Amino acid sequence: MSIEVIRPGLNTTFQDRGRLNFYHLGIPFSGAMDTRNFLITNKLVGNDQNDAVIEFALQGPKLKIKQNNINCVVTGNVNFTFKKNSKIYNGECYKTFDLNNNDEIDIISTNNSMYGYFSISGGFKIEKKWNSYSTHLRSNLGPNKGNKIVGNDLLQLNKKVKSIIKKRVDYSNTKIEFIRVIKGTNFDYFSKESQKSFFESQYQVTNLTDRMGMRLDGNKLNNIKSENIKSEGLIKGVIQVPPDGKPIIMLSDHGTIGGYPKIGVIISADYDKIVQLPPMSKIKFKMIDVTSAEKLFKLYSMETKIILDQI
Amino acid sequence: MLHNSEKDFIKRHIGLSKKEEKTMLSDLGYKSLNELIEDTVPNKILFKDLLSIGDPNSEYEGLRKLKSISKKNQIFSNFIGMGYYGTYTPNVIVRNILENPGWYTSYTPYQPEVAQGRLEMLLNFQQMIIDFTGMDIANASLLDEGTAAAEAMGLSHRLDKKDNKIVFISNDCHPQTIEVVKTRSEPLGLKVVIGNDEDLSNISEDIICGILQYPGTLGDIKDPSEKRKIIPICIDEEFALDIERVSKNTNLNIKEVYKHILNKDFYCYMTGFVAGMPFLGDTNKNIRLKRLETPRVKVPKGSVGITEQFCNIYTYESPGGWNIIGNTPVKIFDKNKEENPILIKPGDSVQFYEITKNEFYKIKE
Repeated sequence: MSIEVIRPGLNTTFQDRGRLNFYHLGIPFSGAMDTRNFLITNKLVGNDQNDAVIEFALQGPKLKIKQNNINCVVTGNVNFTFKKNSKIYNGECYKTFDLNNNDEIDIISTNNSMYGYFSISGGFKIEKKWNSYSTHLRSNLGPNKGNKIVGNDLLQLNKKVKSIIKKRVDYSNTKIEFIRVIKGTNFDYFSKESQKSFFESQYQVTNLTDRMGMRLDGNKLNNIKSENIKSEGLIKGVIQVPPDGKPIIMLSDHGTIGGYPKIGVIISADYDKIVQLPPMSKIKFKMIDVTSAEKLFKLYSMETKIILDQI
Repeated sequence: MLHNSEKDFIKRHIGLSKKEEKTMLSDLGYKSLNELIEDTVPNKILFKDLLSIGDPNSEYEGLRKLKSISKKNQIFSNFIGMGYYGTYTPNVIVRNILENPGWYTSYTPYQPEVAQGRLEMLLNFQQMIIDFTGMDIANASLLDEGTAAAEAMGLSHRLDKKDNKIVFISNDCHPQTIEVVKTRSEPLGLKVVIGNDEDLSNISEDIICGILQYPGTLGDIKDPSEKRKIIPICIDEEFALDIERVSKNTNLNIKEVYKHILNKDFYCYMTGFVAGMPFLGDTNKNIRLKRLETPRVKVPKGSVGITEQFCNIYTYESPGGWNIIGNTPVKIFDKNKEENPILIKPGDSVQFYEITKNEFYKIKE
């Protein structure tokens, strides 16, 4: 009743929808970076919508199955193979497949994206920490003692589920031309030219990007008021600008408080898209108002629901 | 103004319609209500004139009349103290809470509405106290202080699963409170221990509850929750990554910089950024610096940083832009303490003291 980790991958962790109610201590929500793919994963293998899945970044894990009749799925934009009865097959995302004792799955890499998900019917036998399965590496919180999954780990599985239904869904992770943002609370800290160039010029995702944040490179944003503000609360998607003028986007594991001025906030509807941008990607921002951002998020959630309902 | 609405009100809420009245009377064999009354109420006690209570008053008139009566009261300052203090109630509170017409005019002006209004007022008040103090639970009542304390004791006793017998009460509570608690503890078979606030931590047995009072009976303001946290830091150059720059930018020599950090009382404003990181302040004006131009990708765990009017402690290795001037070996955030993972809470007072590198590694072990 377990899965052996042959190769852990770069940043492989258990995640669920996030850990609520600890912001005041400095513990962010965490949770799966790409919520939509996370939800699809659980739905495909017939687990609860908040069950834990394995999230991997860039390079995924190589796993050896130690049990018969495992129904599993990989989501995202991912290249993977699986070895069944010593024969190697190319894997297809968003389509469940079953593996038996001594079969292997090799998640080679994400394809032009950052995160992918893997889960099995019945789920993993792990414990909640503060009511969540999410791993927060910075404060060592979550299953697996708050650590990444490492080589030779044995991942324990929940009891076998009786009836396994093969499922698939047609879904492709589309790119969007613009990342839409609403004005940040310190938008007026930046010169008129910088405000303009923030929306007109291109930014590049640097390799300093992880679950906590994403540093961008591009036109330096000129702060004309004050390079620091009194530290205050942050949410995911906030774009902070330190004195060097290079924006940093706060992602799911972000610090809960920050003292750099905020030029904008990525709208919730585009969050799943921005987290998937690998280093060197070029992005452009587009400003919209709060009402449209809310409408877009409603639309996005509805879309997610429709996809889930198809499964 | 009230005339029509009054009729409406009566029609909606009181009694029968003319038609219903007629049906009932004809069933009983009477022609009119008066005939029924005359026949049933003995003539001796039958009231024949109209009630001499005058015309009804509007709300405004009613209040004005009541106010003119109450103006006859002469109000003097009292100096009894010990729970009997003069109070000032702002008009906005009077109108919206105490004398909110919603409590006594809506629907029907009968007693349960008033009680409901009073209950809502108490709930609002205790919720506000929870918000202000950050306590998990608060309670308000219209009881006198002593009875309220005794009720709280009773509640703790009922909730106490271990069947403890000891109740602590601070001798800084009002004497009448202590007396009431003593009396009420008797039938419950409890033992009341009276002592200083500080004695509370010296009681080795389990207690049902501790009763403290704020402000004290003599009006002194102590903070029983205030815990002074003394945190050791090592300021060796191995840890004080930015001290040279801090010294240069503040035009102070290194020793002078630390004079403003070590053995000074700081107040914890909030915790956050990374788990349990305390924001402590305020630092002396002469050592206030901005954050780094480009934040560090990795600030070592335990680092003590300064920026603007704050110091903080990086409870975990994390990115960060503060000026690092030392490191503490103490665990500020402990996830294994399920209920209470943070050492320094908002509102605590914190002081740093210097330790050597040897001591640092010793504590770290």
